[in-house]
Amino acid sequence: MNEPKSGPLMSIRNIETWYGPINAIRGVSLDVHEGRIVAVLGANGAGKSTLLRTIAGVIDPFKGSVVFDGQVIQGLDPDEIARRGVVLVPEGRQVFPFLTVRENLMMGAMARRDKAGLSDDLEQIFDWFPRLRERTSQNGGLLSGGEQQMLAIGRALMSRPRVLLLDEPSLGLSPLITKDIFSIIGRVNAETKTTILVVEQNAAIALKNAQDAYIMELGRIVAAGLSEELMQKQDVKEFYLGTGATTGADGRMQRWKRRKTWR
Amino acid sequence: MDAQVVQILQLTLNGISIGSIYALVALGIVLTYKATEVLNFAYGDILMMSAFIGWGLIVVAGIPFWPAALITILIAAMLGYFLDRHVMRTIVGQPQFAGVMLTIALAFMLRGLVSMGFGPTSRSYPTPWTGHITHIGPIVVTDLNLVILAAALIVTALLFLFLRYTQLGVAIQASSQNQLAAYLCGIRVKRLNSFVWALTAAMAAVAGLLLAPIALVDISLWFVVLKGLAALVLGGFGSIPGAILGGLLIGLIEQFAGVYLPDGAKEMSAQLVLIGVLIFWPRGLLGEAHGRRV
Repeated sequence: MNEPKSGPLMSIRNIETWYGPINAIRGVSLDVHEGRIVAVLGANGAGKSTLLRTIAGVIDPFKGSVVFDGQVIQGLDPDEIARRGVVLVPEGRQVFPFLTVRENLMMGAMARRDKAGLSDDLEQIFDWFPRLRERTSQNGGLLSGGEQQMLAIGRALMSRPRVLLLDEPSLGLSPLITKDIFSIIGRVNAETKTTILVVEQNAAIALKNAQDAYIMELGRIVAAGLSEELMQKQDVKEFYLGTGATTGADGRMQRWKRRKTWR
Repeated sequence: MDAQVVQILQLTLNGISIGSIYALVALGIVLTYKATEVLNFAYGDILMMSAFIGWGLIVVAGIPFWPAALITILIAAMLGYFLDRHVMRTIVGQPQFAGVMLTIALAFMLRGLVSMGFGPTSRSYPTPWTGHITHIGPIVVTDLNLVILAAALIVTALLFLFLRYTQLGVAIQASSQNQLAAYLCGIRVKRLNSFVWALTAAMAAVAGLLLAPIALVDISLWFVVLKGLAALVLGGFGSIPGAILGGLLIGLIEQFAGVYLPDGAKEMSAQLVLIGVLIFWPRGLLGEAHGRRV
């Protein structure tokens, strides 16, 4: 895996976002290069979701800039950002509960400028998510959790996004479905060259599927690199992957003796 | 036929006729509420203003009824669009009560504008059906009541087809079910909300133009918003079929209360129903079992 040569497709510079009095992101910068899967890892409350919501325009940043394809997009309305090709699949399976699966998917195409090839794209989505094909005329709200997540991702893909933002696609799903979803994410990226920025708590599966990774803690980026490299780092292994912990003289884990290199 | 039975049939027909106006009002309010999450208390005043505009066009400007009605509906739609675009949109993201307060303020402003422009006297305008009656068996109905019924049916059917089968209509449904997801799909939610205001204001104009000939063109026409709200509560708040059913029932209850109950009961009946339903059956007849998703 080589480092990309051209400039980033999307670059985020010194973003600072507040939720009322809470400073959720404290100056984050990161680059997303075209055609790659980029993972942002971190524990609960690290600011990962806020980061994606800021990029998608759901929240306006207090400071900093988001540049996508040479244009500044921070401060635009979320529908405008979606129309430019940066499409967020929000946390927690946000489907339209009383629209059918097909209608849900067609709503995803609202952001598209060219409506050509809609039915081909629909076929393609059903090809990636065969479970949705079986339920085309069922209401979105009646699907299982995993299917709703697939529907939400499929709907976003219907807009032919240039950057797909995925917020915790594994949230509340069984390990098996999570694996399924990540393998489809990999396929989508490989087949369509769609750039993907995915935020995950499940570091192991995210690192395995991503090419670049960032680690966030308390609103800051604390580590960055190729995901293969990050996976080899001792402290990443220990704090995020739960392996390679140091043991004391008595053979028991002594996590508290080790410090993260980035603190 | 027994005079008693005839009277009941007669009241039923009148009740359905007036009830279909309440249903239209309830429909307009619930559509705005579901799509934009604002309870529009100015709805009755948009309706009342439309009746005055219709009066102005027909009686003062001498325009025939149909073109005058069409122009009134267009003016009302533009007013609705304007109110959302330049007033309601400024408070997007604020708590729901802010929207309620703002529409109440708008209601009083519209009321004030009408009484400044037209004065406090009530008036009336002729329609193609004024004074005509039809006999259905032993029952006598004014043609106006039949037209009201037909118009309400047509508007409701068109609205249903629009919401169900057009892309714009489905987008309105989508945005009312999950506004965040709608934004993220690239649906222009703010513009859509203004469109919904225009659409519902046009519906208010239809209701106003139909109501004015059987009531009077009067400032107090705005009271119909209270009947609409009672209909909504009875039918189940947030339910579109419930709004229609509730409207018809309130119309019927009023008619029967007017004849079989003591004086004054007719005026109170809608609000009594509202209170009763809220206490004993808060979900209403066709209320949705699930909570709202935001």
